[in-house]
Amino acid sequence: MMRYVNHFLWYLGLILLQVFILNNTHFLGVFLPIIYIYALLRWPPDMSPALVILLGFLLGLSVDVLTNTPGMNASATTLIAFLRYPTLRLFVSKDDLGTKNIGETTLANGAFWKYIVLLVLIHHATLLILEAFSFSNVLLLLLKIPVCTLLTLVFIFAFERINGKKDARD
Amino acid sequence: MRNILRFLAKYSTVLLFVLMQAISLYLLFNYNNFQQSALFSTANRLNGWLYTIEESVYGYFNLHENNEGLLRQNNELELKIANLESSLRTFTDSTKIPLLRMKEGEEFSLIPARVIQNSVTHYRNFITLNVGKVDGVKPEMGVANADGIVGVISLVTNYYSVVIPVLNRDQRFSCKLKNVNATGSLTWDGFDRRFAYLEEIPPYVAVSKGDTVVTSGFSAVFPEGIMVGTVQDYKVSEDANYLRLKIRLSTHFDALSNVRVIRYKHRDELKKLEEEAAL
Repeated sequence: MMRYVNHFLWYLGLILLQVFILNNTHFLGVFLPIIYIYALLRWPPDMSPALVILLGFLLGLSVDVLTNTPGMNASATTLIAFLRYPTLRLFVSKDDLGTKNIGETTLANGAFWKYIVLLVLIHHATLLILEAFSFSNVLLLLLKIPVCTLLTLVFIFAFERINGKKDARD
Repeated sequence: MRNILRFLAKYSTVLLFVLMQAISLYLLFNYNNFQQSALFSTANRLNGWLYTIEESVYGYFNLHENNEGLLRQNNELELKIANLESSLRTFTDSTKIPLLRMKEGEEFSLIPARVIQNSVTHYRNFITLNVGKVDGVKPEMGVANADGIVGVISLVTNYYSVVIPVLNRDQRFSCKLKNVNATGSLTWDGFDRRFAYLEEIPPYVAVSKGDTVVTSGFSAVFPEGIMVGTVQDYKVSEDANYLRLKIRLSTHFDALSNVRVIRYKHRDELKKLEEEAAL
């Protein structure tokens, strides 16, 4: 039960953190971390894929509604919600996937970071391409994707310091 | 029948994904239609409330800059009063006093507002204000602050309104060079919040760096002469038909808080007239 409460608080907290704090910080003017997807990436691997997609869509839509960008975040987040399990299976065999939250301490041999980097990159690329839409400045877009990804990863690294021990214990 | 059910069960995740993706993309590509519906924007009740709370916290961070802005504005106003008083003195004995008085505040009135949500990093940025229909705000009214123009109202609910600022790739503003009276349209390229571009200026116009750009007053959105910025750089367009001026905006969009919505008294009449003329 506590685990669901915990997941719900992260879900809500990350949306608020993203919209009200991080969207106001602009690293070098154009770059910003997009951290709300961490809520979705943590959910345990045995969670129903349909539920992941539905909640992922709602997660993206919440951010959209709060930032006047209807559909943009929802689309990118739905995509990684769908790709979450296949990506996980790329790096971890079915037998090694437990029921614990996905985290640095619960996935062995750096599989967690491979999984995170790939999905964050896919999400940011989708989101930023949808935002730019006409590729009027491809160079800036190509720069924005890796830099924003890097900023997001720094935040996820920090969040893992908070969650890591608890995930292993649960 | 059973086969269909089995198919649906097997691919339910994929189908759900496709459905959700379709909804997202529908929202994304019908964006302009949703400007009309307040539900999906920062102007809805819940979001307005959330952003009001945010503003009550962030509002303190900009107090210093706001104070400076108010002081600057105060100085300007005092200077203006002094100038007006001196010019009034020259007219004291003539019959022109009523005419001089009539100009002030008759055609345009101002609605003070606070920015409760603002973005500068997107290609299409938006600002949310804490005033709405009940305060007399209507779409297509201009918004400015002490430094210069901010944008134009696009969506209004009872208590909130959304502004399309200069920093939005889709919006153009009619502006002119103050000293030579050449008009062009102001656009933003989506990258640097400090600069915008004034396009469609004829190539024979004598421009120099540092020239002042103000609103043209060609629409009912802004009165003539509201500060926009200064010329930073200029070059001839590729087909050599127009000049493209890089404008340093006088408004600091990342530290917006107090703005004014400009209400043109005869706006409805003018709109009606323009519509009739278009027919």
